[in-house]
Amino acid sequence: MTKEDIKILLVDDEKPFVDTLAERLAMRGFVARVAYNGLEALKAVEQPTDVIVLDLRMPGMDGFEVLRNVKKNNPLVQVIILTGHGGDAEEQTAYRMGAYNFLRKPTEIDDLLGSIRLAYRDKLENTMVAVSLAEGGDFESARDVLKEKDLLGEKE
Amino acid sequence: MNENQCMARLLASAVHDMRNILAIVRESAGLAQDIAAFAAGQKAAKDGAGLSARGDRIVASLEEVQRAVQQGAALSEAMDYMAQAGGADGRNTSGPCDLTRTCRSFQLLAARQARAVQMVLINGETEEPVWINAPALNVLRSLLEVFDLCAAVGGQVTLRFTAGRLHKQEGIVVDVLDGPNREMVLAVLTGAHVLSTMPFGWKAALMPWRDTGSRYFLSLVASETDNQ
Repeated sequence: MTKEDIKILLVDDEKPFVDTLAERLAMRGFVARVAYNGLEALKAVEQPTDVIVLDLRMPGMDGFEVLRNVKKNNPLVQVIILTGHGGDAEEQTAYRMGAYNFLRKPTEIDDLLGSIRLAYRDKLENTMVAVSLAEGGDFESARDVLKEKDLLGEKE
Repeated sequence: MNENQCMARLLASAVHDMRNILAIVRESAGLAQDIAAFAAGQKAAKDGAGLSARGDRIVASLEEVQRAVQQGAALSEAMDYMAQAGGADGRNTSGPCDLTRTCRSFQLLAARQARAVQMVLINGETEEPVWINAPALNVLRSLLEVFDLCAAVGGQVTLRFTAGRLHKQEGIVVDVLDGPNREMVLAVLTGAHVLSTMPFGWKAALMPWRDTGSRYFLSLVASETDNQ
């Protein structure tokens, strides 16, 4: 797995924050796209996406609505919540809706990156299981299919 | 909406903004640190030397900014906890509450007031959470009263608050550790017994812990009588 392989989408209405975060990720070799609201996020997720880092409180469509939509249409995409609204109730709701992790701002970039890496690894495993089921439960042929599509993250 | 909920909602809103501000500061300072580290690496590769004294000063300043952000983040978490305890998210605030988290939040929230009277507040570690069937705001209130008792006799003491149990009852172990005013503080806490600022329906008591002389157990129970 190379860093560039992880297709990251950052979603936050705090433009100075999200732009700077994208820049810092780029300096570490990660390519991250940016969306500044929920609607932009749903449009952006039509492109191949592995991990979404998602704010909760945004004007218009909020993070929960984005999360619900993503999990409905792209269930393999992993969603990490990164929010300034740190209530326990929101955290429980986010996990119940399928969020991979719940982080509160401000977070250390290394903690965020660690979470992104783990989320990506989980996504690969989930993808393998999904393909395996589609291949009639044959795990090895699922592995071959994913290798062909270069989705196993074994390039490094 | 009652007064607590009103304050809690506004506090939660402000904390949300504060977290966003801290996040921007953290990322902006982090980006500057990244650029400085990159420049230092390039300079080392070029001439084998590190950054100039001014460059080192900038790096040190940015580290200071990050430390301040860390403190701000911890304080935000405590304020968020208080907002939730006050019913910011519209949920039931009657309990139960996690005493370990409540002690930690109190220590952060009261730190500035403690410094003003030369008191040090320490949060004792517990191996597992201790839950009490009481509103978190009432627990914070009882801790603040203990603090006020100590401050009223001059402060200058170190207090440690640890969630714990005594005879199967959940509460907070209060240790008076050291400081020039320790004896006065011990005297006032020993004479306190029932705290006076609890709302109707609740009773908070401060009991000396067996024979230790410097340890107390703060209990909080529902009561059908007014404690005034």
